Amino acid sequence: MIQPCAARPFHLQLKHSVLAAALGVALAAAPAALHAQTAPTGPIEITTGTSPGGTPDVLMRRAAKILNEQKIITNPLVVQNRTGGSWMVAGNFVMGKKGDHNIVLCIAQPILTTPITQGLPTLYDKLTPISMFIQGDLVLVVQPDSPVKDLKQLVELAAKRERSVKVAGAQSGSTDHMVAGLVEKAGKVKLNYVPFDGGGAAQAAFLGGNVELMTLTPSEALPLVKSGKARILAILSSERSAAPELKDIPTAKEQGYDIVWGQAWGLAGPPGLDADTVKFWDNAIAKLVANPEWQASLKENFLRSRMIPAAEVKPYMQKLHDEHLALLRDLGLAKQPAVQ
Amino acid sequence: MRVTNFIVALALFSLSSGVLLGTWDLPYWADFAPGSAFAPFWVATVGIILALALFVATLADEGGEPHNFPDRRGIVRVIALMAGLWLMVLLIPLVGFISASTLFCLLLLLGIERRPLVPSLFATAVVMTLVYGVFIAWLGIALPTGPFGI
Amino acid sequence: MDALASLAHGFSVAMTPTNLLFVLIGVTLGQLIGALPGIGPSAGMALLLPVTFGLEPVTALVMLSGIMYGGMYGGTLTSVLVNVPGEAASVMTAVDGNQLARQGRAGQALAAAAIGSFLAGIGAVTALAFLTPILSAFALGFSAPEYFLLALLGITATASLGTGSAVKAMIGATLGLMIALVGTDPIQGTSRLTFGSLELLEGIDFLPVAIGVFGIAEILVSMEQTQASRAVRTRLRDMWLTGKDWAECRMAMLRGGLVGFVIGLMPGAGPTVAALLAYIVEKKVSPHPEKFGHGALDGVAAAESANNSAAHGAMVPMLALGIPGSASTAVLLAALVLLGIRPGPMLLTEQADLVWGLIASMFVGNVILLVMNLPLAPLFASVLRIPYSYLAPGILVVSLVGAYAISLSLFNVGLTLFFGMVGYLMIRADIPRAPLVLAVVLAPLMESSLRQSLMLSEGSPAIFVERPLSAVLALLVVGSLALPLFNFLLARRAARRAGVEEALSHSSD
Repeated sequence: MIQPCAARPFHLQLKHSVLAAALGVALAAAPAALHAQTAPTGPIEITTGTSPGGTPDVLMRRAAKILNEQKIITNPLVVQNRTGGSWMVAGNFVMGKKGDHNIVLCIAQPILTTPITQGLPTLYDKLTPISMFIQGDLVLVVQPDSPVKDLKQLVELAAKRERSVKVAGAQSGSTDHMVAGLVEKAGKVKLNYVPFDGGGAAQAAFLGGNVELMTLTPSEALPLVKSGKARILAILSSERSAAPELKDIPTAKEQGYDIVWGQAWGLAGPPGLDADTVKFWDNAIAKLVANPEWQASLKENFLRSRMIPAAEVKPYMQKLHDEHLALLRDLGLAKQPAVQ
Repeated sequence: MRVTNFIVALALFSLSSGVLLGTWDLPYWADFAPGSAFAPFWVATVGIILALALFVATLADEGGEPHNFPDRRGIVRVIALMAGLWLMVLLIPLVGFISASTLFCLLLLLGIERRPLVPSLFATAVVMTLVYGVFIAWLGIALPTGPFGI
Repeated sequence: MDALASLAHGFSVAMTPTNLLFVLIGVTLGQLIGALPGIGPSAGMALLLPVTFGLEPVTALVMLSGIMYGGMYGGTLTSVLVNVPGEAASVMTAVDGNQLARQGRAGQALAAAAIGSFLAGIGAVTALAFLTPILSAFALGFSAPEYFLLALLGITATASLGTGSAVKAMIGATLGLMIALVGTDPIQGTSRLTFGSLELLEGIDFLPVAIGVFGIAEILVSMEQTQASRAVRTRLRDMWLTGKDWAECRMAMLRGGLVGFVIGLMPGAGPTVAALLAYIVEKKVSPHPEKFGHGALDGVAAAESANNSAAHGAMVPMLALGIPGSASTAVLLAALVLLGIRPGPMLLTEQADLVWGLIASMFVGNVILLVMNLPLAPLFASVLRIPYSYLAPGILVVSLVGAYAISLSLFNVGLTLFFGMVGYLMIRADIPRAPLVLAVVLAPLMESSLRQSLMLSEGSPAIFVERPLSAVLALLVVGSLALPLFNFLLARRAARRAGVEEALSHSSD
């Protein structure tokens, strides 16, 4: 690792930032001028908070593979799984590497939600934003023999008796849970959300016919639909998907319910990462997103790759965080006060 | 054994009380199913019952079974080893995993076990080669590194 | 006969020189990784995932799954020889296998484990090849209520797991339950007993507990005497499995293999739960239950057969439905996705080459592992001829590296040391450690499945007897609780009658 040499620029930067702040000058440009180097040297760690095999882990490994193979980034990229604390261990590990050029954090939903549900200080606004560049849709599925044909009928069924419609999903506070909360809010009904130990266990409970409803990603749902084990009610994106397998699935919005929710992944640097390194990543990710192999691999899994560049990612993250906070508060899961 | 049993009963009792107090504010029941405090409550209750049972049984048992703990020298050696291990853990962030564990091996073999120097050095070298070769070089596990880069 | 033709085709895929080579590489790596404490098969597979980039999907998959079941063989080594569970599923082997090693019977323990794993593995792959569609439907019949009853069955057996007093065995189990409570409550999301520590938010990992309570604690005990250099003195030729040993454990292998396979099928329980339950079952039916915990060869055989057949059983929901039944199959699924193959119910038909090649490779892999382990068992066992004081630092350092590798943090290293001290005190206070690890594994399953069940049934406890599978399990639970009571009453009646007769005979004098 290169901690000792990474510490030096940071001290310079710190001094400058004090100076800059005192002078009331924007400090963004100042450290950049001090650096001759334009790219990090040595291996770069991509830190994720899931165990191997989790979606963000798989995505980052795939991204790292293509970035290295296509020589977009020549430094060896190593994906490390620093599990624990619902991503907070990974998050805090990167938070502690102030200004380090050789580490980035994979941004996934728990980076936003764990601080909210556990009442911890937020991380998303303290890390150096790099880019969000992978987006995923979600669909609602019901049992294939369910009498429910669309969202309206689902809401009608749920309205008959409170908590009579059972929904399987991952742990409390997960994406699945939040989607169930959105359905409750949009349909003004109460569902019976049963948290299982992760997505796989929830899917097993659904396939075993123990619950009526569940949230899946299209790549999980389509094989089930094809083999007659599930039926898709709605896609939760703001407009219909362009993929041929998905284009006939109506959005929830079309059906008159304002349920728009998705997944997003990206990268962020440790706090105080200099502008040159951010630029380095910005360029690399722009090339990655333009890479046909990368696009094809995502399309296979019904994911999209639209790049939100470093310059725009800050307000984007802010909006994402506020949406999650509002929803989790509705679900009674937020421990964080309204205003930071 | 009597004293040991009394200490076990006391420790279990205080642990159970700790569990009970630590989860007192959580909901015992939620809607259809038990809440967060349900399991801790019953685990703690069982713990307290078992602590009392052990206490009473030991009171009733007059058998003068000797305790299991080793003599003073044994205790000193066990504590020394444990202290060495904790010292190693504290040293890891400062000097790196390899250096800290090398120091620990030497401390254990030469300081506590008082083995001859050459075999001890050899054993340490073998262990470190194994750790470096398997964990760092082959599996690529990011063990903490020290100022020397390993 | 359709399956037979497919299997024959699968063998033609698996027996190509490249695939054969990668099966060999996979199982050898698995054996090594399984033997390293802390790094289980799933972590090992993830670490070696990048190696598979650029390989054919079949080749990559046969190698990765080779690591998975090779790990089940490898974990036995460290458990038996140095009492550190090489991977979580070998934890019961550490209890009895190491006792055997101290009696100079390490070779037999390793051989019994290897044969048991092999037979159970081959049986499981055969079932996998011919019954996957039926079995996957069966696996889906298990949900929260069944898991709860299964865990209950295991937990209620803890009192009998100790070697001394029942109260102390239950104290051990209660400590395990307390360890399992720490962390975020998965159902309501509240944090319990975490004391504000982020590292504790996801709870205490099983491996630091197992490594500490067994491995570290055992070394602390050995430190008490200066003459710790005593090596186990055995001759190589005393290390082979005898006919008597074989007779003792062949039924254990059968039972362990069956229990393990059924539990492996369930998406909510993995090889660790399988090994624990198989051990408990074996103790209940064994003619010499008192030997369990003091070196029961059939206990080792049952637990090891169970974990290997569970590892294979977990392939059923993975291949047939795309659902991971264990941490290792989750990595396999991820590997599929990375290789551009979408898992799911269509996999069996859409990727027949891949699936059947994989199944055939598991036959081959198990044979390789048997050949690797059985003749070498005495050789591995001769590691114990190294004086213990030279072995101890190596065991300690490698255990701690393993603990670090779990989540790449020193926190788990500290936790391992802490549980080492706890384990030492437990040994000295005569509290058995097997109930503790059993409770740590089963408690989370029991708690969350109880709550899930009641949520599914909207609060009605009838769910535990209404469903066909849960009704059977409920009967088993009642039976296992009533049996000792019944035996006790019977014994007392017999004793009373004997007493009466004695009294009568006295009075007639």
